[in-house]
Amino acid sequence: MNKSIRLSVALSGHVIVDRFSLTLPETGCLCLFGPSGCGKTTLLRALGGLLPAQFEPENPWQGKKTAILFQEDRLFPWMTVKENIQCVQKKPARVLSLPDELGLDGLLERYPHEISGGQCRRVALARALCYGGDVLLLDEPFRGLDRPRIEAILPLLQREKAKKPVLLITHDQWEAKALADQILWVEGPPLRLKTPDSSENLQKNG
Amino acid sequence: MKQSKTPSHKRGPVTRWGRRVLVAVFWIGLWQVVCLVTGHEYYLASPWSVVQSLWRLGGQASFWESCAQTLGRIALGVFLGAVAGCLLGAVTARFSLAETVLHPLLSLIKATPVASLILLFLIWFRAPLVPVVTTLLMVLPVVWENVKTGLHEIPENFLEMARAYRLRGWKKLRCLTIPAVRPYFRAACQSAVGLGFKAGVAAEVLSNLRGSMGGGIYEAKIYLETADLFAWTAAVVLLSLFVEQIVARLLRWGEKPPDRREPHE
Repeated sequence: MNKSIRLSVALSGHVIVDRFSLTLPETGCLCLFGPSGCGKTTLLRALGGLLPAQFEPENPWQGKKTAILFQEDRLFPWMTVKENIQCVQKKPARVLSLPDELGLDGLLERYPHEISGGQCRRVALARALCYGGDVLLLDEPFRGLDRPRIEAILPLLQREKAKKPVLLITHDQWEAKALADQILWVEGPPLRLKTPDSSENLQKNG
Repeated sequence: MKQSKTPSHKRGPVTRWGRRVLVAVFWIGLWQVVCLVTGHEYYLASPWSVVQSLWRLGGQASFWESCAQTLGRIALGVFLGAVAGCLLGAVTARFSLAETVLHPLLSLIKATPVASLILLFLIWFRAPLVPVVTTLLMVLPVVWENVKTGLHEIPENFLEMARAYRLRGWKKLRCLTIPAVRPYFRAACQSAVGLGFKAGVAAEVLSNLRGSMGGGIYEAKIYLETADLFAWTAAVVLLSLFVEQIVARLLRWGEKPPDRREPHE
Protein backbone atom coordinates (compact mmCIF):
# COMPACT_ATOMS: atom_id res chain seq x y z
CA MET A 1 0.00 0.00 0.00
CA ASN A 2 1.30 3.47 -0.86
CA LYS A 3 2.17 5.63 2.16
CA SER A 4 1.75 9.39 2.22
CA ILE A 5 4.17 11.22 4.46
CA ARG A 6 5.40 14.70 5.20
CA LEU A 7 8.95 15.32 6.32
CA SER A 8 11.22 18.14 7.42
CA VAL A 9 15.00 18.16 7.67
CA ALA A 10 17.26 20.87 9.07
CA LEU A 11 21.04 20.74 8.83
CA SER A 12 23.15 23.03 11.06
CA GLY A 13 20.13 25.25 11.65
CA HIS A 14 19.27 25.53 7.93
CA VAL A 15 15.94 24.11 6.83
CA ILE A 16 16.64 21.99 3.75
CA VAL A 17 13.34 20.14 3.57
CA ASP A 18 10.27 21.83 5.06
CA ARG A 19 7.13 19.70 5.48
CA PHE A 20 7.61 18.16 2.04
CA SER A 21 4.75 15.84 1.12
CA LEU A 22 5.21 12.75 -0.95
CA THR A 23 3.63 9.36 -1.41
CA LEU A 24 6.01 6.43 -1.18
CA PRO A 25 5.03 3.53 -3.41
CA GLU A 26 4.83 -0.11 -2.32
CA THR A 27 6.64 -1.05 -5.52
CA GLY A 28 7.72 0.94 -8.55
CA CYS A 29 10.00 3.89 -9.05
CA LEU A 30 9.42 7.39 -7.73
CA CYS A 31 11.78 10.01 -9.19
CA LEU A 32 12.78 13.37 -7.77
CA PHE A 33 13.89 15.54 -10.65
CA GLY A 34 15.41 18.93 -10.00
CA PRO A 35 18.51 21.14 -9.98
CA SER A 36 21.50 20.35 -7.80
CA GLY A 37 21.50 21.83 -4.31
CA CYS A 38 17.73 21.84 -3.95
CA GLY A 39 17.68 19.19 -1.20
CA LYS A 40 16.98 15.95 -3.09
CA THR A 41 19.95 14.07 -1.64
CA THR A 42 19.11 15.31 1.86
CA LEU A 43 15.61 13.89 1.44
CA LEU A 44 17.05 10.57 0.23
CA ARG A 45 19.43 10.35 3.19
CA ALA A 46 16.59 11.17 5.60
CA LEU A 47 14.44 8.43 4.08
CA GLY A 48 17.40 6.05 4.37
CA GLY A 49 17.63 6.82 8.09
CA LEU A 50 21.01 8.52 7.78
CA LEU A 51 19.85 11.97 8.88
CA PRO A 52 17.63 13.03 11.74
CA ALA A 53 14.29 14.16 10.26
CA GLN A 54 10.75 14.84 11.37
CA PHE A 55 8.27 12.50 9.75
CA GLU A 56 4.48 12.91 9.85
CA PRO A 57 3.48 10.18 10.52
CA GLU A 58 6.53 7.93 10.96
CA ASN A 59 9.03 6.97 8.26
CA PRO A 60 7.46 3.92 6.59
CA TRP A 61 10.93 2.70 5.56
CA GLN A 62 12.33 2.98 9.10
CA GLY A 63 13.90 -0.31 10.15
CA LYS A 64 13.66 -1.76 6.66
CA LYS A 65 16.78 -3.03 4.97
CA THR A 66 17.62 -0.15 2.66
CA ALA A 67 20.20 -0.33 -0.11
CA ILE A 68 21.58 3.08 -1.01
CA LEU A 69 23.56 4.00 -4.08
CA PHE A 70 25.18 7.26 -3.02
CA GLN A 71 26.01 10.15 -5.28
CA GLU A 72 29.70 9.23 -4.83
CA ASP A 73 30.79 5.63 -5.37
CA ARG A 74 32.20 5.25 -1.84
CA LEU A 75 34.23 2.15 -2.72
CA PHE A 76 36.88 1.16 -0.20
CA PRO A 77 40.23 1.76 -1.95
CA TRP A 78 41.90 -1.07 0.00
CA MET A 79 39.46 -3.68 -1.29
CA THR A 80 39.11 -5.31 -4.68
CA VAL A 81 35.89 -4.94 -6.65
CA LYS A 82 34.82 -8.37 -5.41
CA GLU A 83 35.58 -7.57 -1.76
CA ASN A 84 33.78 -4.23 -2.03
CA ILE A 85 30.64 -6.00 -3.15
CA GLN A 86 30.95 -8.92 -0.75
CA CYS A 87 31.60 -6.78 2.31
CA VAL A 88 27.94 -5.66 2.46
CA GLN A 89 26.54 -9.16 2.08
CA LYS A 90 25.52 -10.98 5.21
CA LYS A 91 26.99 -14.29 4.07
CA PRO A 92 29.35 -13.59 1.20
CA ALA A 93 29.04 -16.28 -1.46
CA ARG A 94 32.25 -18.04 -2.47
CA VAL A 95 31.45 -17.40 -6.10
CA LEU A 96 29.99 -13.97 -6.65
CA SER A 97 27.28 -14.03 -9.27
CA LEU A 98 26.64 -10.59 -10.66
CA PRO A 99 24.03 -9.56 -13.19
CA ASP A 100 25.47 -9.69 -16.72
CA GLU A 101 23.98 -6.28 -17.46
CA LEU A 102 26.58 -4.60 -15.24
CA GLY A 103 29.46 -5.93 -17.34
CA LEU A 104 31.83 -6.43 -14.44
CA ASP A 105 33.32 -9.73 -15.60
CA GLY A 106 37.09 -9.61 -15.47
CA LEU A 107 37.15 -6.66 -13.06
CA LEU A 108 36.49 -8.52 -9.82
CA GLU A 109 40.13 -8.81 -8.72
CA ARG A 110 40.99 -5.19 -9.55
CA TYR A 111 41.14 -2.29 -7.11
CA PRO A 112 38.94 0.81 -7.55
CA HIS A 113 41.94 2.89 -8.66
CA GLU A 114 42.62 0.39 -11.42
CA ILE A 115 39.24 0.80 -13.10
CA SER A 116 37.50 3.73 -14.78
CA GLY A 117 34.95 6.07 -13.20
CA GLY A 118 32.09 4.44 -15.09
CA GLN A 119 33.21 0.99 -13.95
CA CYS A 120 33.39 2.24 -10.35
CA ARG A 121 29.80 3.46 -10.70
CA ARG A 122 28.70 0.02 -11.86
CA VAL A 123 30.53 -1.61 -8.94
CA ALA A 124 28.71 0.71 -6.53
CA LEU A 125 25.42 -0.24 -8.20
CA ALA A 126 26.33 -3.93 -7.98
CA ARG A 127 27.04 -3.50 -4.27
CA ALA A 128 23.64 -1.89 -3.71
CA LEU A 129 21.90 -4.68 -5.62
CA CYS A 130 23.86 -7.51 -3.96
CA TYR A 131 22.98 -6.08 -0.54
CA GLY A 132 19.41 -7.04 -1.25
CA GLY A 133 17.13 -4.97 0.90
CA ASP A 134 13.48 -4.01 0.94
CA VAL A 135 14.02 -0.53 -0.47
CA LEU A 136 16.42 0.80 -3.12
CA LEU A 137 17.53 4.44 -3.05
CA LEU A 138 19.43 5.61 -6.12
CA ASP A 139 21.20 8.97 -6.15
CA GLU A 140 22.23 9.74 -9.73
CA PRO A 141 22.84 6.07 -10.52
CA PHE A 142 23.99 6.64 -14.10
CA ARG A 143 26.58 9.34 -13.43
CA GLY A 144 29.55 8.79 -15.73
CA LEU A 145 27.86 6.09 -17.81
CA ASP A 146 27.23 6.34 -21.53
CA ARG A 147 23.80 5.88 -23.09
CA PRO A 148 24.35 2.29 -24.41
CA ARG A 149 25.54 1.17 -20.97
CA ILE A 150 22.55 2.82 -19.27
CA GLU A 151 20.23 1.12 -21.72
CA ALA A 152 21.87 -2.20 -20.86
CA ILE A 153 21.38 -1.62 -17.12
CA LEU A 154 17.79 -0.33 -17.26
CA PRO A 155 16.11 -3.78 -17.56
CA LEU A 156 17.93 -4.83 -14.38
CA LEU A 157 16.57 -1.85 -12.45
CA GLN A 158 13.14 -2.35 -13.95
CA ARG A 159 13.15 -5.87 -12.51
CA GLU A 160 14.15 -4.42 -9.14
CA LYS A 161 11.36 -1.84 -9.09
CA ALA A 162 8.83 -4.55 -9.81
CA LYS A 163 9.80 -6.16 -6.48
CA LYS A 164 10.40 -3.18 -4.19
CA PRO A 165 10.06 0.59 -3.93
CA VAL A 166 12.81 2.50 -5.70
CA LEU A 167 13.56 6.20 -5.16
CA LEU A 168 15.51 7.74 -8.02
CA ILE A 169 17.26 11.10 -7.95
CA THR A 170 18.52 12.53 -11.21
CA HIS A 171 19.13 15.67 -13.24
CA ASP A 172 18.63 13.85 -16.53
CA GLN A 173 15.14 13.93 -17.95
CA TRP A 174 15.78 10.95 -20.24
CA GLU A 175 16.95 8.81 -17.31
CA ALA A 176 13.95 9.86 -15.24
CA LYS A 177 11.48 9.00 -17.98
CA ALA A 178 13.25 5.73 -18.78
CA LEU A 179 12.95 4.33 -15.28
CA ALA A 180 10.40 6.22 -13.18
CA ASP A 181 6.70 5.54 -12.79
CA GLN A 182 6.17 8.92 -11.22
CA ILE A 183 8.32 12.04 -11.44
CA LEU A 184 8.22 14.88 -8.93
CA TRP A 185 9.70 18.10 -10.37
CA VAL A 186 11.28 19.85 -7.42
CA GLU A 187 13.21 22.99 -6.56
CA GLY A 188 14.64 24.59 -3.46
CA PRO A 189 15.98 24.79 -0.85
CA PRO A 190 13.85 24.30 1.05
CA LEU A 191 12.73 21.43 -1.12
CA ARG A 192 9.31 21.99 -2.72
CA LEU A 193 7.37 20.90 -5.76
CA LYS A 194 8.16 23.14 -8.70
CA THR A 195 4.52 23.88 -9.61
CA PRO A 196 1.26 22.62 -8.14
CA ASP A 197 0.82 20.17 -11.03
CA SER A 198 4.44 19.13 -11.22
CA SER A 199 3.82 15.51 -10.45
CA GLU A 200 3.92 13.43 -13.58
CA ASN A 201 2.48 9.95 -13.47
CA LEU A 202 4.00 7.98 -16.26
CA GLN A 203 1.83 4.90 -15.69
CA LYS A 204 4.64 2.48 -16.30
CA ASN A 205 4.48 -1.07 -15.29
CA GLY A 206 8.19 -1.93 -15.60
CA MET B 1 73.03 6.99 -30.77
CA LYS B 2 70.92 9.03 -28.42
CA GLN B 3 70.17 7.30 -25.13
CA SER B 4 67.16 8.09 -22.98
CA LYS B 5 67.69 8.88 -19.31
CA THR B 6 66.33 6.37 -16.82
CA PRO B 7 64.13 7.89 -14.08
CA SER B 8 65.78 7.68 -10.65
CA HIS B 9 63.08 5.38 -9.19
CA LYS B 10 63.55 2.89 -12.06
CA ARG B 11 67.33 2.53 -11.64
CA GLY B 12 68.50 -1.02 -11.04
CA PRO B 13 69.59 -2.38 -7.66
CA VAL B 14 73.27 -2.19 -8.69
CA THR B 15 73.02 1.57 -9.29
CA ARG B 16 71.08 2.08 -6.08
CA TRP B 17 73.58 0.10 -4.00
CA GLY B 18 76.44 1.82 -5.78
CA ARG B 19 75.08 5.21 -4.70
CA ARG B 20 74.66 3.99 -1.13
CA VAL B 21 78.22 2.71 -1.00
CA LEU B 22 79.50 6.04 -2.36
CA VAL B 23 77.54 7.94 0.29
CA ALA B 24 78.93 5.64 3.01
CA VAL B 25 82.48 6.10 1.70
CA PHE B 26 82.00 9.90 1.74
CA TRP B 27 80.88 9.99 5.37
CA ILE B 28 83.47 7.50 6.61
CA GLY B 29 86.13 9.50 4.73
CA LEU B 30 84.96 12.69 6.42
CA TRP B 31 85.05 10.92 9.79
CA GLN B 32 88.65 9.80 9.09
CA VAL B 33 89.69 13.35 8.13
CA VAL B 34 88.18 14.81 11.33
CA CYS B 35 89.91 12.04 13.29
CA LEU B 36 93.28 12.92 11.71
CA VAL B 37 92.72 16.64 12.46
CA THR B 38 91.82 15.87 16.09
CA GLY B 39 94.79 13.55 16.42
CA HIS B 40 93.58 11.80 19.56
CA GLU B 41 91.85 8.41 19.55
CA TYR B 42 90.71 9.33 23.04
CA TYR B 43 88.46 12.12 21.68
CA LEU B 44 87.35 10.54 18.47
CA ALA B 45 88.07 6.92 17.57
CA SER B 46 89.02 6.33 13.94
CA PRO B 47 86.74 4.28 11.70
CA TRP B 48 89.37 1.52 11.55
CA SER B 49 89.61 1.34 15.38
CA VAL B 50 85.84 1.08 15.60
CA VAL B 51 85.76 -1.72 13.02
CA GLN B 52 88.48 -3.54 14.97
CA SER B 53 86.53 -3.11 18.22
CA LEU B 54 83.34 -4.32 16.58
CA TRP B 55 85.16 -7.33 15.16
CA ARG B 56 86.62 -8.16 18.56
CA LEU B 57 83.26 -7.73 20.31
CA GLY B 58 81.53 -9.77 17.64
CA GLY B 59 83.79 -12.68 18.45
CA GLN B 60 82.57 -12.79 22.05
CA ALA B 61 79.44 -14.70 22.99
CA SER B 62 78.67 -12.10 25.68
CA PHE B 63 78.26 -9.42 22.97
CA TRP B 64 75.53 -11.38 21.23
CA GLU B 65 73.89 -12.19 24.57
CA SER B 66 73.86 -8.46 25.37
CA CYS B 67 72.32 -7.72 21.96
CA ALA B 68 69.64 -10.38 22.56
CA GLN B 69 68.88 -9.04 26.06
CA THR B 70 68.55 -5.46 24.82
CA LEU B 71 66.51 -6.51 21.81
CA GLY B 72 64.15 -8.56 24.00
CA ARG B 73 63.55 -5.71 26.45
CA ILE B 74 63.04 -3.10 23.75
CA ALA B 75 60.80 -5.37 21.67
CA LEU B 76 58.66 -6.01 24.76
CA GLY B 77 58.49 -2.26 25.50
CA VAL B 78 57.59 -1.43 21.89
CA PHE B 79 54.94 -4.15 21.81
CA LEU B 80 53.33 -3.11 25.09
CA GLY B 81 53.54 0.58 24.10
CA ALA B 82 51.90 -0.15 20.73
CA VAL B 83 49.08 -2.17 22.34
CA ALA B 84 48.46 0.46 25.02
CA GLY B 85 48.69 3.24 22.40
CA CYS B 86 46.09 1.51 20.20
CA LEU B 87 43.70 1.05 23.13
CA LEU B 88 44.09 4.61 24.41
CA GLY B 89 43.90 6.01 20.86
CA ALA B 90 40.64 4.13 20.26
CA VAL B 91 39.13 5.15 23.60
CA THR B 92 40.07 8.84 23.30
CA ALA B 93 38.90 9.01 19.67
CA ARG B 94 35.55 7.49 20.63
CA PHE B 95 34.78 9.23 23.94
CA SER B 96 35.40 12.95 24.32
CA LEU B 97 35.29 12.62 28.12
CA ALA B 98 38.16 10.12 27.98
CA GLU B 99 40.05 12.53 25.71
CA THR B 100 39.53 15.38 28.20
CA VAL B 101 40.61 13.24 31.16
CA LEU B 102 43.58 11.51 29.50
CA HIS B 103 44.98 14.37 27.40
CA PRO B 104 47.03 15.85 30.30
CA LEU B 105 48.62 12.43 30.78
CA LEU B 106 49.65 12.36 27.12
CA SER B 107 51.10 15.88 27.37
CA LEU B 108 52.93 14.96 30.57
CA ILE B 109 54.54 11.85 29.06
CA LYS B 110 55.60 13.80 25.99
CA ALA B 111 57.08 16.72 27.93
CA THR B 112 58.87 14.86 30.75
CA PRO B 113 62.64 14.48 30.10
CA VAL B 114 63.59 10.84 29.44
CA ALA B 115 66.40 11.04 32.01
CA SER B 116 63.90 12.07 34.73
CA LEU B 117 61.64 9.18 33.82
CA ILE B 118 64.52 6.70 33.90
CA LEU B 119 65.73 7.93 37.30
CA LEU B 120 62.20 7.74 38.69
CA PHE B 121 61.73 4.22 37.33
CA LEU B 122 65.04 3.23 38.91
CA ILE B 123 63.42 4.10 42.25
CA TRP B 124 60.16 2.36 41.48
CA PHE B 125 61.19 -0.79 39.54
CA ARG B 126 63.91 -3.41 39.43
CA ALA B 127 66.72 -2.47 37.01
CA PRO B 128 65.86 -4.99 34.22
CA LEU B 129 62.33 -3.57 34.06
CA VAL B 130 63.44 0.05 33.65
CA PRO B 131 64.36 -0.15 29.91
CA VAL B 132 61.05 -1.94 29.20
CA VAL B 133 58.91 0.71 30.93
CA THR B 134 60.98 3.56 29.47
CA THR B 135 60.59 2.19 25.94
CA LEU B 136 56.88 1.66 26.55
CA LEU B 137 56.46 5.29 27.57
CA MET B 138 58.38 6.53 24.51
CA VAL B 139 56.27 4.45 22.12
CA LEU B 140 52.91 5.03 23.81
CA PRO B 141 52.30 8.72 22.91
CA VAL B 142 53.42 8.27 19.30
CA VAL B 143 51.09 5.33 18.66
CA TRP B 144 48.30 6.85 20.76
CA GLU B 145 48.26 10.11 18.80
CA ASN B 146 48.59 8.46 15.40
CA VAL B 147 45.83 5.94 16.03
CA LYS B 148 43.56 8.70 17.32
CA THR B 149 44.31 10.84 14.25
CA GLY B 150 43.74 7.86 11.96
CA LEU B 151 40.34 7.20 13.53
CA HIS B 152 39.36 10.87 13.24
CA GLU B 153 40.47 10.93 9.61
CA ILE B 154 38.20 8.11 8.44
CA PRO B 155 36.11 9.85 5.75
CA GLU B 156 32.57 10.64 6.88
CA ASN B 157 31.34 9.23 3.55
CA PHE B 158 32.69 5.79 4.45
CA LEU B 159 31.24 5.93 7.95
CA GLU B 160 27.84 6.83 6.51
CA MET B 161 28.19 4.03 3.97
CA ALA B 162 28.97 1.60 6.79
CA ARG B 163 25.85 2.77 8.67
CA ALA B 164 23.66 2.46 5.58
CA TYR B 165 24.86 -1.08 4.85
CA ARG B 166 24.78 -2.05 8.51
CA LEU B 167 28.49 -2.84 8.81
CA ARG B 168 28.94 -3.27 12.54
CA GLY B 169 31.27 -4.83 15.09
CA TRP B 170 34.02 -7.03 13.75
CA LYS B 171 32.88 -6.58 10.14
CA LYS B 172 33.17 -2.79 10.35
CA LEU B 173 36.52 -3.15 12.08
CA ARG B 174 37.82 -5.52 9.37
CA CYS B 175 36.37 -3.71 6.35
CA LEU B 176 36.78 -0.08 7.36
CA THR B 177 38.47 0.80 10.64
CA ILE B 178 41.63 -1.33 10.54
CA PRO B 179 42.50 -0.64 6.87
CA ALA B 180 41.85 3.10 7.34
CA VAL B 181 43.99 3.38 10.50
CA ARG B 182 46.72 1.00 9.36
CA PRO B 183 48.94 3.57 7.53
CA TYR B 184 48.88 5.81 10.62
CA PHE B 185 49.75 2.87 12.89
CA ARG B 186 52.57 1.74 10.59
CA ALA B 187 54.10 5.24 10.47
CA ALA B 188 53.86 5.46 14.27
CA CYS B 189 55.53 2.08 14.79
CA GLN B 190 58.39 2.92 12.43
CA SER B 191 59.15 6.13 14.34
CA ALA B 192 58.57 4.41 17.66
CA VAL B 193 61.18 1.68 17.09
CA GLY B 194 63.98 4.26 16.73
CA LEU B 195 62.73 6.19 19.74
CA GLY B 196 62.39 2.96 21.71
CA PHE B 197 66.01 1.98 21.04
CA LYS B 198 67.28 5.44 22.00
CA ALA B 199 65.36 5.55 25.27
CA GLY B 200 65.73 1.85 26.09
CA VAL B 201 69.52 1.87 25.71
CA ALA B 202 69.71 5.16 27.67
CA ALA B 203 67.78 3.42 30.45
CA GLU B 204 70.23 0.49 30.37
CA VAL B 205 73.16 2.91 30.59
CA LEU B 206 71.69 4.85 33.52
CA SER B 207 70.69 1.69 35.36
CA ASN B 208 74.14 0.17 34.60
CA LEU B 209 72.49 -3.04 33.52
CA ARG B 210 75.15 -5.74 33.13
CA GLY B 211 74.86 -8.02 30.13
CA SER B 212 73.10 -5.45 27.96
CA MET B 213 74.17 -3.10 25.17
CA GLY B 214 73.64 -0.13 27.49
CA GLY B 215 75.82 -1.90 30.05
CA GLY B 216 78.52 -2.30 27.38
CA ILE B 217 78.35 1.43 26.61
CA TYR B 218 78.58 2.24 30.32
CA GLU B 219 81.64 0.04 30.82
CA ALA B 220 83.38 1.47 27.74
CA LYS B 221 82.82 4.95 29.16
CA ILE B 222 84.15 3.97 32.61
CA TYR B 223 87.39 2.58 31.10
CA LEU B 224 87.64 5.45 28.56
CA GLU B 225 87.57 2.93 25.70
CA THR B 226 86.32 5.38 23.06
CA ALA B 227 86.59 2.84 20.23
CA ASP B 228 84.46 0.36 22.22
CA LEU B 229 81.97 3.12 23.00
CA PHE B 230 81.68 3.84 19.28
CA ALA B 231 81.46 0.13 18.49
CA TRP B 232 78.61 -0.45 20.95
CA THR B 233 76.83 2.65 19.65
CA ALA B 234 77.24 1.45 16.07
CA ALA B 235 75.82 -1.93 17.09
CA VAL B 236 72.78 -0.22 18.66
CA VAL B 237 72.23 1.88 15.53
CA LEU B 238 72.55 -1.13 13.22
CA LEU B 239 70.20 -3.22 15.36
CA SER B 240 67.68 -0.36 15.50
CA LEU B 241 67.74 0.08 11.71
CA PHE B 242 67.41 -3.68 11.20
CA VAL B 243 64.41 -3.95 13.56
CA GLU B 244 62.83 -0.86 11.95
CA GLN B 245 63.03 -2.57 8.55
CA ILE B 246 61.56 -5.81 9.94
CA VAL B 247 58.69 -3.92 11.59
CA ALA B 248 58.01 -1.93 8.41
CA ARG B 249 57.90 -5.11 6.33
CA LEU B 250 55.71 -6.92 8.86
CA LEU B 251 53.23 -4.05 8.96
CA ARG B 252 53.18 -3.72 5.18
CA TRP B 253 52.43 -7.42 4.83
CA GLY B 254 48.95 -7.93 3.45
CA GLU B 255 48.40 -4.20 3.07
CA LYS B 256 46.70 -3.06 -0.09
CA PRO B 257 47.81 0.52 -0.55
CA PRO B 258 46.01 2.62 -3.13
CA ASP B 259 49.23 4.41 -4.06
CA ARG B 260 50.25 2.10 -6.90
CA ARG B 261 48.01 4.12 -9.18
CA GLU B 262 47.90 3.74 -12.89
CA PRO B 263 46.18 6.33 -15.04
CA HIS B 264 42.68 5.47 -16.19
CA GLU B 265 42.12 4.84 -19.84
